[in-house]
Amino acid sequence: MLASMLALSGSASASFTPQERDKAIEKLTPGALKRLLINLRAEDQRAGGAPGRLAQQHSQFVSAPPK
Amino acid sequence: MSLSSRAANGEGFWFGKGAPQAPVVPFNTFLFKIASRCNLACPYCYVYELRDQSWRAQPQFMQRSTYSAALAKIRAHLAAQGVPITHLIFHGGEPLLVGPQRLEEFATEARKCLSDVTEVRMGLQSNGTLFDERFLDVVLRTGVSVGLSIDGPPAQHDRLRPYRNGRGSSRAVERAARLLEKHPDVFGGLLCVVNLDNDPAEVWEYLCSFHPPGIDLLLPHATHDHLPPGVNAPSEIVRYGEWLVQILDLWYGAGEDRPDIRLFSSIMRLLLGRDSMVESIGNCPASLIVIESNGELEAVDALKACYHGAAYTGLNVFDHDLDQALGKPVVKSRQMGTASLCSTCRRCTFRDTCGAGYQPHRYSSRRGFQNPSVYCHALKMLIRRVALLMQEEFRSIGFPVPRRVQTLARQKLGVGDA
Repeated sequence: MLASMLALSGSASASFTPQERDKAIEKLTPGALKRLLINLRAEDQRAGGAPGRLAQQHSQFVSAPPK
Repeated sequence: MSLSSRAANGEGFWFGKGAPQAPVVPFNTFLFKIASRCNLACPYCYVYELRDQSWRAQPQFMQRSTYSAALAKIRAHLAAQGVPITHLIFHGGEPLLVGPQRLEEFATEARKCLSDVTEVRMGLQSNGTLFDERFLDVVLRTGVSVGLSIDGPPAQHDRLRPYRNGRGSSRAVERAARLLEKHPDVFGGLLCVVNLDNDPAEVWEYLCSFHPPGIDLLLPHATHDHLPPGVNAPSEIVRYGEWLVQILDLWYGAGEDRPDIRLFSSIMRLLLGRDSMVESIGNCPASLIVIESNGELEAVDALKACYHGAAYTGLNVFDHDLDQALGKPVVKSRQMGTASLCSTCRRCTFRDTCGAGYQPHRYSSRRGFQNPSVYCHALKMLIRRVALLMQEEFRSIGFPVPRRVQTLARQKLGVGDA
């Protein structure tokens, strides 16, 4: 189900490999993009290397506390 | 055909005719309306001031028996569906009107009832006026994170978020934010409704002064029938795009210690082919259900901005299972991704990033939710600007620019193209 769900949302298309991502993190100066890539790396590690696995684990509600 | 018949049927209203059915995604977020009244009178409030007036028939507070019945149904749903992490949000009205003791009872009962079937994360969204040391003790003990609504510096906030007697609420909410600032473990973040009369740079600096972990920027609820505040014609929507882009530029270049803005980071995630963190942008299936004070199950409550009864499912926690709500068109339409969008959005280059924005903002009485967002042009301006910033940064380090970033960065938008 997860695979079809991700295909539905367009989330399955990876933009770059984990190695490329880590290289970008090294080169980027502090800011939004670097922070995002660091967060994505942490998410992937928690999800056992499956990008998008956390999609259903955070609350998406637009006016809820983000934690 | 009447509005309620069209809504009940679903096709051509919530989603297009012949749209393929989506796989069902279980609920993981449960929004409890523990209080149905509020001590503020914000002019833009979707609960009291816009099209839906169903709050008048609700009990002031959720009864313990209603709450227990809801938890039992949630437990059954989570156990059957195998949901690893569950979010319970205490909401209103103003949820703190229930008092610290009942809040603690609610939080304690939820942990007791659900912890063996899922990881329970709890939060509440408050106007901050009642939050004091007593509530702080409760949220620290029970692990409930607190989000506060602040619309900007005091003069701006007071104009938009007054008490019922017209007095501003800024002093009280500032006090609450300062209390939470000292307790980052339970500080959920700040919620700010965009107002064109406020200076975006001032709003950004002011919100950052409380050191929240995150900021949610909300576009005021509006539809094609009722345009957003400050907008007299659709072409003026660009003003919202310009406002958002100004904050985006400040946020994007800010240091590591500045708060996240989930709308912006979600757009960045979507541009990289990942999921959105909020339901207001992107095509990810929404997994939220609202439990009204009287136990009725409703779809996302912001739909109340559209028409009376828009969030109605006809189900309640006493007589129905949560799985039944998953079959209702109003809920299903938010899990269908691209298939729920109108033909204009399905053909749009921005589709997979924008997802037609927030569902309530697509509404018109003529075509239901089969429209682009009333904020369409503003969202495109924002997304394109995010793509441009990312493209520039990827290029500066000699990194190949991801395809979606590249495509959207070069889009021409016409009116308001900046």
